[in-house]
Amino acid sequence: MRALFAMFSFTLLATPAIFAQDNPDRREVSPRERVNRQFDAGAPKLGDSLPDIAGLTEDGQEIRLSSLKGQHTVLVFGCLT
Amino acid sequence: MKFFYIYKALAHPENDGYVQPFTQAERLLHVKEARRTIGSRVPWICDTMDNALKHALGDAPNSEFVIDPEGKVVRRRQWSRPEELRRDLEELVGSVEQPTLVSDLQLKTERPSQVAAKGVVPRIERPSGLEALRIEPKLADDGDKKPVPFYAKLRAEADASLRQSGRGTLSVGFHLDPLYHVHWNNLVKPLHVEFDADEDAVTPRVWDGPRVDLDSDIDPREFLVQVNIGEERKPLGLTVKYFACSDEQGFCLAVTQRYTIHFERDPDAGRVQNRGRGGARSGGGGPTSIGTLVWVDSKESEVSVLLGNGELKTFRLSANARLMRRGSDDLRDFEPGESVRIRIEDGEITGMALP
Repeated sequence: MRALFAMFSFTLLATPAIFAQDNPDRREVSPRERVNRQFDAGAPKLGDSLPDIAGLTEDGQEIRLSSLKGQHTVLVFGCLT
Repeated sequence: MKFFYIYKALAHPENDGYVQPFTQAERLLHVKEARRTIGSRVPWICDTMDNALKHALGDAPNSEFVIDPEGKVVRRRQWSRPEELRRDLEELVGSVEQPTLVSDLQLKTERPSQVAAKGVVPRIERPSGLEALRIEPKLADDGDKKPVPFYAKLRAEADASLRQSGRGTLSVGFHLDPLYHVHWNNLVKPLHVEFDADEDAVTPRVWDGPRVDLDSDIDPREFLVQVNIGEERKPLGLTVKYFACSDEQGFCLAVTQRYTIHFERDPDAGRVQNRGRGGARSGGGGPTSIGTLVWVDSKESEVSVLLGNGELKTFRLSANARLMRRGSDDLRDFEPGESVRIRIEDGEITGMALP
């Protein structure tokens, strides 16, 4: 009986949640989703060359993204926090 | 095959006390700190202070790209996923007999060194909806031989009303940069701030930090200001005076520095996640609510919560969300039907625990 009641309660609680997940308009746009949208719109697409932008090596020397050729290269963004 | 990390502006300033750098030299110090605290041997490419790399590659905090020998993008992902990256590399260049495991790398997770007490000065209660503003520290002129670093760094945030109409609340915080290993000197005058404005436009126009019983500490000095500068929203100047001391280097300096606050959102300022985490006492943070879990999606890190007011909301968990459930910090251990206390910041859950 208790199990039935729990299942019934859960179904009552979970049903609106299922609808909420089905209907993206009801969900808030989280910062993570904003990042995803920015990335989709602004990052180089598959097949694109990297833009000719410069960064710095750890000892402060200029390094251009366009110079990263000749072998497969992995770039991962990160920071301290 | 080559690997590079790209070091970008902080995604979540204040975590572990770190603050956004003001100069390229300081960002390079961040890179050195990242190498020290993580211990990885992968080389870093440091973004420039105009955040050119971040902007050009999609403005995401932890994205990854694989570039082929011709320099073309052959894989891209807005959030780095090491397991998927490994599969990508196996597809692109073949598998290896003995793949390196994370444990082989012996990565460290060190925290910044702490030079004085923290958790002494309570964090202020802040209104919701604040966004970081663009600030302009007055860096040294070229003629200065040895400019004094910004040991304490300003973070200014405004509510929507102030950003849009020039009338609203400004949050002002001065955070000691942990990379300089300095502390406040509480035996002398506390930090002092003066705005270049009338009392009618900025209240308070002058602010002094709290008196603290301990000789020294490293907690942020924060206060709220009511601003009414009109729709033009002209930039606001301020002067800050404080004493920065380093026991390690044996100095105690009286510092005077200038800033200009621009009433426009700074898209590269990062988002403070758990205000006070790793910095001061975590008395601040976003509002907390109690609700009932009705849906837990551990794969997508999302939960649906029936809040006390009857509203059902779906939230994503922030990357560093703190979860506590009878000794477990795993989302999979939370179950629908459980009552939970959640802390929400900027639409994401940053903390969830049983009440």
